[in-house]
Amino acid sequence: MLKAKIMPTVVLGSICLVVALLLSVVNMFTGPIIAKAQAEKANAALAVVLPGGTNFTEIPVEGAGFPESVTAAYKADNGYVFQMTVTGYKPGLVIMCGIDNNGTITGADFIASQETLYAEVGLGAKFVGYDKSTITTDIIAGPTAKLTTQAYYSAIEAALNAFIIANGGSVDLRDPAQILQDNCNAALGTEGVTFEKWFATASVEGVSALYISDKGAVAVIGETFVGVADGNVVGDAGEAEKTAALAIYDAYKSEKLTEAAKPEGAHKNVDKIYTAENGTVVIEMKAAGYGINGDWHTSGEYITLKVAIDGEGKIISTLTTYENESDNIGDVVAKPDYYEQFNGKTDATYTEVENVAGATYSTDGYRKAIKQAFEAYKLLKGGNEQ
Amino acid sequence: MNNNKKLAVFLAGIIKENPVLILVLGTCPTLAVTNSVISAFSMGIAATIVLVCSNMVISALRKVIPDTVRIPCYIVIIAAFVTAVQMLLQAYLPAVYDMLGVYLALIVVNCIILGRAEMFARKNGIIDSALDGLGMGIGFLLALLLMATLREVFGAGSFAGIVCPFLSTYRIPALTQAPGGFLVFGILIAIMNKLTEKKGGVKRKSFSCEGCPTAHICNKNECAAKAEEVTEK
Repeated sequence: MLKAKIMPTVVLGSICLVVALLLSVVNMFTGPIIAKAQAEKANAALAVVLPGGTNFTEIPVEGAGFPESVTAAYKADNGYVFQMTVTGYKPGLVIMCGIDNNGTITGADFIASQETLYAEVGLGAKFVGYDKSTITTDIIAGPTAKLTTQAYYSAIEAALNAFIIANGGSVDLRDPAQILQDNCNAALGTEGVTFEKWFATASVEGVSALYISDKGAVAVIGETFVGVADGNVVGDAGEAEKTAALAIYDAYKSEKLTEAAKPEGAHKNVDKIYTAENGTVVIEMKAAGYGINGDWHTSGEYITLKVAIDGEGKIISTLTTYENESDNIGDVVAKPDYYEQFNGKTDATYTEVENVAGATYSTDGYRKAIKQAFEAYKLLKGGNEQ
Repeated sequence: MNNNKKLAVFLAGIIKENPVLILVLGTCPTLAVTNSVISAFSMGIAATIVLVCSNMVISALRKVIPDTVRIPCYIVIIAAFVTAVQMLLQAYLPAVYDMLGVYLALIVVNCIILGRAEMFARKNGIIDSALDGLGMGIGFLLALLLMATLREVFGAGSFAGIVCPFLSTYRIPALTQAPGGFLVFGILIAIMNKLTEKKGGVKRKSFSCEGCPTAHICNKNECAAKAEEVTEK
């Protein structure tokens, strides 16, 4: 009885032991060969983006202070290879970038992609020869698959930053929005104050934006941040900068908008119109995005935006106030990088802002709304300027 | 067992009891790897090696392995051979290892191997078990090669990667996909049924011992008793 209970365990255990022993012997012979072959295979893949690269060794990414998108890093005799994972049209765009010891890109290619327009194919070759000081977004200029190409660009930029960090340098990796807030606080001599961009209804030459808070405002003049509190400039600044900062601050303080009647013939997307004393017209309106194609409803919701057009017919400000477009696709309309492209445009030039491939419905709807805003503006001004 | 019987054991797996086309075992790897002749050949050889080795070891240990733990023991033995084959392929034939992918590891749960261990190796001697494994392995290999040839030649217009000039123009890509695999598999089984029927083969429409292709090696009394039990219920 006892034998019947013990024997199965003993036999099975013995078989497992013998099998483990035999497999360890096989592994003893094959293990080094497999490891060598895998290392050669990995090196060959890395050498594609870093030609001539030898003796690749992996650098631990965790705690290295690299940009967040850098998921692996390798050092070779003649440079580095960085692997980045970014989100283009879809998540999971994995890019390898080789950088030689001089900081010049030697090659880049994607190793995994869920993108749909194949814009990533061959894009890496365009970056070869560039370094941190020469790389510009001109490399990815053009209307094709902006979401993919911008993600690719950000990955290459991350690789260049990682290269500097790997060589003992430092790079400001803060979020651009955080950098802006920090710069505003520094200009105003405050800490932890949150600033919001003023939806400008007036423009002052040289001033690109005014950020406001309950402690004061900060005018951005070129690369300089000039703080204004209680009607006085805070800190040091040139005379011209001081004058410009005070002028835009005064315009903000004296801003008075009056609601005007919606002119007859204005597009139904136009909701409300306000006028300012300086002749600027602010139009609050809707834009038909994805799901609301043109004038007829299918499903989905409207994008809402407001546009400020000055007395000369030039857009001063554009702001998306609401959108429920697809994540990482149509929601590009809510990004300042997209809608601020309309600033400075006129009725004749707004079409220079290209639709975003992959988010065609949303961006085309947005551009049509800008056109409708100009139509309403003209009707309000009472001119037949066509 | 005399030489004629040994030959019969060896030959049974090739046509009469072909594991793929008659016993319909090992369908998963059959459908998965037969889109290419090279991967089918590699899988066939790997499975044959595991089949012969595991049959021999199981047969040698048949009197030692208690009945209650025989299946776990078989699995461990089969897994050991599969792992060894995997290591050897990864070391010396990495291209084949990459080509077979997960299906190489899945040989562990291949019904043909476990089936032969349970139906043959545990009841017969080492030589006979080795012959049975070899015959079944060759039968598996031939079935895979036949199916892969049809799928690759007509689906991809090539044979073992060599482009067939005329066929590459008029290829049927669906044959290299899963639906094509099922279609070719079904057609081959139908042809095999027809051929074995003509030669006075077994009638598979019957569910008794008469219709069972492995009736001669199983315990017929137990089988008959179970069948009666089922009928009574």
